[in-house]
Amino acid sequence: MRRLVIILTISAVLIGVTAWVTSMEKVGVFDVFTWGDLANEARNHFWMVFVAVGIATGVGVLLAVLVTRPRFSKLATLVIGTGNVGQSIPSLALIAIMLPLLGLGFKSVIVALFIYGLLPILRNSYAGIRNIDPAVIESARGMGMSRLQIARKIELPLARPVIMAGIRISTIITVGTAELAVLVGGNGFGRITFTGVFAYEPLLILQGAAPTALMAIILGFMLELVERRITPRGLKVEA
Amino acid sequence: MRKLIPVALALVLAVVLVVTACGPPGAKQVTVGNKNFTEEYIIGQMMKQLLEDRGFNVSLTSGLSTTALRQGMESGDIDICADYTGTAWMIHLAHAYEPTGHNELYEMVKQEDAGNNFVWLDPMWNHNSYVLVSWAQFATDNEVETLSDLAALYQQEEGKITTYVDFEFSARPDGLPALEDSYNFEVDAAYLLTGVPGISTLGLENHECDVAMAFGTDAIIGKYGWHVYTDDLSFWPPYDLTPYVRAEVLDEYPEIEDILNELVATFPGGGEAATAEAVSECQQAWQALNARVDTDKLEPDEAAHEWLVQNGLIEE
Repeated sequence: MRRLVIILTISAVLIGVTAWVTSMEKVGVFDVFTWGDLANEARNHFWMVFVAVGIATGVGVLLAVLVTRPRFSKLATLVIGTGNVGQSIPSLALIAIMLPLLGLGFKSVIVALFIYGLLPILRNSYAGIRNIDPAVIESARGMGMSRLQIARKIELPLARPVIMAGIRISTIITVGTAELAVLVGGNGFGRITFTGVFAYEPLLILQGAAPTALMAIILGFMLELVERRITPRGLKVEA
Repeated sequence: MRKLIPVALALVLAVVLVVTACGPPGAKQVTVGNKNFTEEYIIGQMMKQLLEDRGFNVSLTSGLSTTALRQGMESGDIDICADYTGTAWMIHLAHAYEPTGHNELYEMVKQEDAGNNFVWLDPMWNHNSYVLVSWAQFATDNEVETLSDLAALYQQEEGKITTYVDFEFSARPDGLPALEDSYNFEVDAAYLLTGVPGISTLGLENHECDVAMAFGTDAIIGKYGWHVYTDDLSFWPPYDLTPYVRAEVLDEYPEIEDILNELVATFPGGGEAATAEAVSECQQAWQALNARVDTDKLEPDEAAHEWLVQNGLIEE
């Protein structure tokens, strides 16, 4: 309950700041962005995050399932390690390096955001599956379930809350990182923020940064609700 | 743990020494600032190297945006920089622009900025204006010559022409929104790309857009023979690159004025009133200089050094 109040308060402040700056015609000699611009960049921003996290989810969960199979268990360190390295590259460098590799535009942005958002999902999925009580798997096998059935009906459902938490973390990180997309020919709220940086106008920076933060909070909250919804009843901690 | 204390102390001491380190006592210390594109990197280096040659201790703050540089000048963090007359008139002094000649605009800026304790030295008449450019093929295919023609094309295509500009241009009063108002067109938001300085011409080079913002003295325009749309409504003011100095610094070191005017005098029409020939020749001189960096891949400090040596301002 108290968390909800905090989230609502912060959201209200962020909306207020955005509305305040947008209602000005100019800050200094610079034009502020219109509501139309904001709506447009919100769409662009969300779309980037959606595509990148979507791909990261598919790849991350698949990889996690793969490396938790006994046959591929030796690959686990390698895969998780590679994911770790992906995220230890500074986000700005990762996006910038796409420029010579893939050129300007949406493609570069998505690849960079994907690499950056993959690790939380991969690591959580891996941990979620690994931490399932072996006795449960054992009994499933005893009931005559095939390997595929065990993965689909036992492992993934039991690991789902942890996987969802990974997706949520990845989404929140990606909303922030997507600010940088504009540096390699993408779009999104970064366009507004960086105009503020180059115009050296704090209010213009806020006009881009506040809605970005708002998007991260809203998406994070929504995914948290989903996370709670899909937790199997037996795993729910009684409040 | 105890062993660590002297190490930590030594580190702190080292940091303090480095931070507070000054040049030799009594040295003439000034800070030069420059903006974030080729021409500005070169002029910053020219001023730095020349002043150093004349006995100054110069620190250079490089890569600032227009407004950041101005704020640095106002706060006193930066003593000397070179900015454009049109930029000063419209951004720093926040005036609307009425068509004015090069000399008149320079005088207006010089006079008004004196009230802010800035002294504008002699200008270089290189008129490095914002321009919109396209591949020659695009201009020929669509029969567009001037910005008015281009505006008509935008209207016809409902703004669906991919256009690349930089961040400053997307918000400045001499930038895209005002240009759209003046020429009565609008770029569809989905077809508008915005980025860091220099990326718009990279976008055009890679055919990621049809129309790009550039600077009049950009070397890349000549390299590819890009079509530059004529500003037939005189929307843009003259943009003549001019060093200016904080008055207090000039009071302390009056010789700076002669030193930098000497540099300006190496350019066509430097130190004299602007004429059409002077503007065009000075523009070409700067295009060639920018090409040394953008095309020939020299570093800005090398290009600056080369110019200073060639013009006999400093020894090899």
